[in-house]
Amino acid sequence: MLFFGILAGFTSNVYAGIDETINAATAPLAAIIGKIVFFKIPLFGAEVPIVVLWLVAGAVFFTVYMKFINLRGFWHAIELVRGDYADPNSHGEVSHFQALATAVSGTVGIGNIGGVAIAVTVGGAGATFWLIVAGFLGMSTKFVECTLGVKYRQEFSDGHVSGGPMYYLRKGFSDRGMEGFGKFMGTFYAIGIFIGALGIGNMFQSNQAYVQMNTVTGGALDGYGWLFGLILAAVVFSVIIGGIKSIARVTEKVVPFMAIFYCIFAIIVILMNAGSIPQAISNIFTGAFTGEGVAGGAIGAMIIGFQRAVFSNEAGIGSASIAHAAVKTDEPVTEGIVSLLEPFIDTIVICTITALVIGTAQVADPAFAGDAVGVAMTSAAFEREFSWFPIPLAFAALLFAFSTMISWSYYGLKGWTYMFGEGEAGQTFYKLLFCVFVALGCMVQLGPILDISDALVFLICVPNILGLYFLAPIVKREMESYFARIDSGKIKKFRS
Amino acid sequence: MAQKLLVALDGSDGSKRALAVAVQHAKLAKSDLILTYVIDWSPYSFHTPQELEDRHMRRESEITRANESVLTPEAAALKGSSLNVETVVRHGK
Repeated sequence: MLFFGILAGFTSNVYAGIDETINAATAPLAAIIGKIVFFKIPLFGAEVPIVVLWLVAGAVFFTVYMKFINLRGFWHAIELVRGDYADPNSHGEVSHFQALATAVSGTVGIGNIGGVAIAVTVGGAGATFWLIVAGFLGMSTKFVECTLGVKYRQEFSDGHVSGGPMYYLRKGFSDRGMEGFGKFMGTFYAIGIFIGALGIGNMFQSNQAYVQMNTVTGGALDGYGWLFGLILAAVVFSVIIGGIKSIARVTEKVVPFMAIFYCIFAIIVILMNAGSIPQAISNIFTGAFTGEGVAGGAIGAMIIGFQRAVFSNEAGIGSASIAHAAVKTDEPVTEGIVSLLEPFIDTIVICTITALVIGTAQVADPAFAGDAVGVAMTSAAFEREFSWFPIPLAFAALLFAFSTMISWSYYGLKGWTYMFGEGEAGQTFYKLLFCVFVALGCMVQLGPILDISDALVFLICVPNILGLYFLAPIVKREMESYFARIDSGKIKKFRS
Repeated sequence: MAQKLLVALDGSDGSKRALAVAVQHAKLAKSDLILTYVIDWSPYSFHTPQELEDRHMRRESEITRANESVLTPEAAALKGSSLNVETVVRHGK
């Protein structure tokens, strides 16, 4: 025990040293990259990052250009997921439900619990309104990118497939005679998703999971970040390298259960504060258009809402199209339509519920959370009604973080294989590297590194959405042909 | 009389006895036989992205294995008889 204590003391000192070195080395770089990526222009008295405008403009354009596919395709998406169009001869392939569940597990994460609290703290209640609007518009962006992910994926001779924005950017642009530009964009995207997978999709998740567990246990894990990190890394290792499917299967099963559990309790908490509901909803609407008390007013609230929505549902980042591209299907459009439901579930349902939990708590007691921000703030809102809730919430946060890491390990892997080929040795090296970063995320304070990763995830929206504009006519053609065949009865329901 | 008899096989003794009964019926009624093997699968399970990618190849190998280990030997054993035998592998419950 004494040895353990000394070891812990020793290691924490070493980590403190590593921390400082890493931070000192990366802080200036992070500042520069952040300045470039989040370059702001003044608009109606608010500072607006161009990249957020770029995302919003894209989402609005795709919604209009695809004739409100986010509304028109919604019911069809549910029919597909229910299996109404599933051909019995293709049973055993990935079902639409499975593809959706995997993609949702990847996006439902810390952002749904903590990100919303940040949005409400910084952007006021009105940010919630814009978060929902962004979720709605993001459904169209998701549709376009997931359709393209399947259409332009690479099939290898042994039958396995790789797909995602790097492939549709390269092939899409070279089909239009811009081969060099396509190659550049593909590689640029691959680098971005690779680094993003190590940061946002990995260190940020493991770090937040550790912080949550530590808070709930009253600081019992202080100084044991390295141990927590190593255990988490070992579990990730066993899944992505060891191929231990049982762990993955348990998580993939528990995550949807946790999400439902979370929503049910959130609704109960909201109903327990029923008296505050009208005021909370009114705050959301007035805040959205007046921006009272928010830096930058209504525009400020809007920016925060949009930014958090993208962070949560990943529409425009292109990551989900990597997962959907793995699905064997003859109709790329069907994967796109199913993917519409991801921003809906993630942002319009789960984030809105979280926002209402916080909003009703704020109405009842404006100072309920004290200084708490992020996940801790949401946790405090639940704690007002159920004193034990922070414990299952921390457990949920851990599982959400874990499933997000598993999904992002795959996204990063596809970025890696795009750059360095499909060789087994290279893939194993990448996976080992990924595990090392899981552990690192719990050990060090990674402010600047996370800022870089954060910025890069937004930066890859630039080539991705540019590609989406170029390839949108192709998606539109496929979509119209698909719906025409549905209307004419050429594509039949196997079950009604 | 065009009639088909469907026999579900899983390699167990019970299923072999069922096949023997079905063969007798088929001979008497001059009907065709369909031998089937159903691989346990649900469209509502959960997978990692890597499993989604591997799914198509795994499906193929599951079908090959079911054919090789269960259906093909039984069909081969019936080749000498005058029966029309068809084999089908499906995924489902």
